[in-house]
Amino acid sequence: MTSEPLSLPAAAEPTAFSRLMRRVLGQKAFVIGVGILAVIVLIALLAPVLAPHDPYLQNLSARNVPPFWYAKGSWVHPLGTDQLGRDYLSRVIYGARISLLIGISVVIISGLIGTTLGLAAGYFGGKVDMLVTFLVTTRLSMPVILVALAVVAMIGGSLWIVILVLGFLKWDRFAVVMRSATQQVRSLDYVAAAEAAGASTTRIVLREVLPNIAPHLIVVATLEAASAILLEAALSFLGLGVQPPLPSWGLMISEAKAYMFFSFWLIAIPGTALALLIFAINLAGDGLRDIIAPEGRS
Amino acid sequence: MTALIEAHDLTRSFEVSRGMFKGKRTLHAVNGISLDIRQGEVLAIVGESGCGKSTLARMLLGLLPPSAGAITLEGQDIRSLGRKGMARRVQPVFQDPYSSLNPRRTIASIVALPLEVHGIGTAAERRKMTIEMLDKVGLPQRFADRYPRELSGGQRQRVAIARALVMKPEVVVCDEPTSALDVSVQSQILNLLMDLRRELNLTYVFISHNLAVVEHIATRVAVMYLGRVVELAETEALFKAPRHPYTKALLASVLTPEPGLGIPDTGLGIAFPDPLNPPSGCPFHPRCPERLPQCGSVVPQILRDENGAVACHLHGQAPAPH
Repeated sequence: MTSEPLSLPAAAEPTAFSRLMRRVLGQKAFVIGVGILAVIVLIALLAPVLAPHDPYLQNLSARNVPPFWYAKGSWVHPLGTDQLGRDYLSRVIYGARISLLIGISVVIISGLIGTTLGLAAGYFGGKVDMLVTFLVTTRLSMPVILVALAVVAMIGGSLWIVILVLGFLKWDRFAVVMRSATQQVRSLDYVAAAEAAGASTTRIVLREVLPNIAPHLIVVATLEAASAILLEAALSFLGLGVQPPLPSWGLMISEAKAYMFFSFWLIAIPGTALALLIFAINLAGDGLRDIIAPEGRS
Repeated sequence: MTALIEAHDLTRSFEVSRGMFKGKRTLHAVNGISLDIRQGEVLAIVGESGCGKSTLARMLLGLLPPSAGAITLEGQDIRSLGRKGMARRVQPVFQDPYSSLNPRRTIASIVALPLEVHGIGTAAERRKMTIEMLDKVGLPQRFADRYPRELSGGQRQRVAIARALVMKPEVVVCDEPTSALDVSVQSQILNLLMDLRRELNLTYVFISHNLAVVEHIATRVAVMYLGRVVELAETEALFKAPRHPYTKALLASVLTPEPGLGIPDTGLGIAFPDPLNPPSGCPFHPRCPERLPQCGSVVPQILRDENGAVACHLHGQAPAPH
């Protein structure tokens, strides 16, 4: 909009914003979750700056060095080294990149598939709805981890294969939630008004329906991202996910399990990192749902 | 006056599922309605809840395709006009201003939506037209960048009216535009609609169950019962000398301001019949105080004369064999 003298800024705008801010800050869990998440994202982005060593550099003369708080530990390797003498802190830092990449990519792929199907089913209803519901039921009858294991076992594991497999498997919740949210919005008069104004179906779906169900989409996306990260860790732990030497947290736990009685930190450190990330995402997702719920109900 | 919109034997049925393995039943929401809407008139459509008023409105707007029959706009079938062609000439005002405005859009963007869809003017020109339209419906410019949740019900209905009129349509279909509003606001909205009609030379289809409002603003009234028009007449004639027993009962049901009279007895007795299982013959016969022997078996033909139309055995010639 061109800035004519006509368009005065609405007087109610700042108060609406500050009201929203108060509601957001009132959600302690949400603030904590987003805070932890922001730190992890920052660490992942700044990995080359923050990591003290090359995460792939092996040093067989310094294997299984304990973290600094042990008597044998040193500040050269603050979190010690693994069984190949690689700096553990650097690997954990780079591992954050992999987990976040998996979480975000899987959510983008599955979100696109699920949202498209859910919107179509909810908007058109009838036969389209029946087809989508059938697809969702079919998909739900297949356990994700089993199908993922089978596919990876057949065509081999790599970061991108894990992302694609999970992305094509985890769209069901998006489809279910978007379908019912769309059904609700579809019956409202502003959709009929847009239709009567001559707007095309694409325009109505994208401009009238989607913005009103976007809050639900964001909540599902956060929860699905957490679940995708956990699944990747599980697949990598089973040796059918991300392949070495990539520093995936799941893979690090898997590699450490042979040493867990002698070098406990090898399994505890990536495990803690993983738990913290999932915890943060779930806190943020839950808080987000509480923040948008009153609006969704009205 | 010439007919702007004509409905020919309009029927709309819905398949109603009664649960798995039970089969479907057909609900005739609108059952063979023929009427004409004349240039410049205010045609009121009245009837009880569930009589098919809103279904008829949605068909007149082109939002719902008829199961049978056709609607023509100046002789042209509205199906051939397309969604956009229809939108330029016929626009809706819905009942509930809380669900008819997209909560995520500003008032200006809601009103400008039809202009945007039809690619009229530049963004600045659309803005100017929107502000002018808001001014016409009595909303100051400062509302333009607010969101619907910041407005009262009456203000929201003004926005809905502005959206309907911004494309300068010929016909506005108002589906109970005041029944969701406070009584104090209702008359303001009605006066606004009447002022705009004069100013913009509009034709209204005004759906309502409020007979006082209808008497005040309509030029002609169509009374609907179970998906059919049972009586159609000029407003004055209808209120002075109703011909169909259902119309008489409706008029008798209006509450009078006199205390002590109590709630009027409509003589309608039993409740509205189940539309899934309509009575045989004249659909009104189980409740009719002036029932004739043939009413239970023969559907009355519509009698059209200079006073309008009525579908009742009391006013027909010899009933057509069925």
